[in-house]
Amino acid sequence: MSDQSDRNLKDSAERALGVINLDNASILLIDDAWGIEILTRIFVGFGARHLHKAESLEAASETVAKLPVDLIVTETQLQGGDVYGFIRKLRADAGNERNRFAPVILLSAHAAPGAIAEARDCGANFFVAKPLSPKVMMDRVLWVAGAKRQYVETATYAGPDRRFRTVTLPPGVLGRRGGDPRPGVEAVELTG
Amino acid sequence: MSGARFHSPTNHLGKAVTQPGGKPVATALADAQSQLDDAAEQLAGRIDEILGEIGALCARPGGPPPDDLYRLAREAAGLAALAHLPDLGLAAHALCSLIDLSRRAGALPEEQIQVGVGAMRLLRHPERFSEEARKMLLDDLKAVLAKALKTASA
Repeated sequence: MSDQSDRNLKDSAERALGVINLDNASILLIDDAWGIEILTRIFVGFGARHLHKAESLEAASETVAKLPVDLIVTETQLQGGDVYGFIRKLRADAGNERNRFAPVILLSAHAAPGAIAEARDCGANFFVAKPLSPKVMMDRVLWVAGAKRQYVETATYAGPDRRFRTVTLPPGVLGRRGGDPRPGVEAVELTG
Repeated sequence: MSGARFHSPTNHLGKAVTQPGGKPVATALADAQSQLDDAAEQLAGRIDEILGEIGALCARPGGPPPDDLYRLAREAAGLAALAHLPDLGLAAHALCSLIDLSRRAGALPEEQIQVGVGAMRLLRHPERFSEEARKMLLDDLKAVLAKALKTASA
């Protein structure tokens, strides 16, 4: 067996056992200084090398305008900044095809009422409560990395398609509940 | 016609993480935890600064400005557990909820805020209390929060 084959086999085995490679992932971290410190430590531990750090939305906007970004992790309440507005603007930016669909993970130490709905409606992918733990962050990173969800753009929303497909009953079978989908009709439920 | 446009963009993160190389997830988690543990003392130092800033705010004539107090309590809630002070984090989170409720009600009830701030100060040194005493302190804070919630929803 060649060295290359050995390597390929080893790589596939490691992936099967659960391997993450963030060597070439470009990750934008947006938070205050201490938040950035924590996020940096977590992602450095994960093996990330290309971390872009922004303590303001102005700096974050410059980064997404200039550099390719594969993942955005941002605090929701930055002083003097509308994070939800920043994400909405990014998602709607047809001129930035490379970054507009980057997965966004929002962070918050205390979510005011309505924050979750606002996070959902701005087009973010996940909302994670602080204090952060490597385990939760890893789960979310792996989730968005494996996501095959489409993105949808309407007059009022741009972001991950939040509809979940409900499997219909087999042809000829009538549901017993009022809410059961009609046979042969694909039901689409908007869960957002 | 709904007017919705659907996109199936390349998942660049997905492509990156599955490249050959990298590290086992278990190792990555252990390395990240080790990185955080190395920062625990620094973070405890920041918690002390926050408590000092909160103390200064509370000493102001007319009471602490709610937005500033909320910002500091929120920061503490996000950092405390990583500084190995999880109970202080819970107290800070409860204080955030109290401030949030009172902001919506239009006024900060000084006594309730003092209970929250006092709990944070005490829990900065959890080793001084038994587990039972810490639990009682947090239960009292929860009771204050529940009362405030009840008042707000009345």
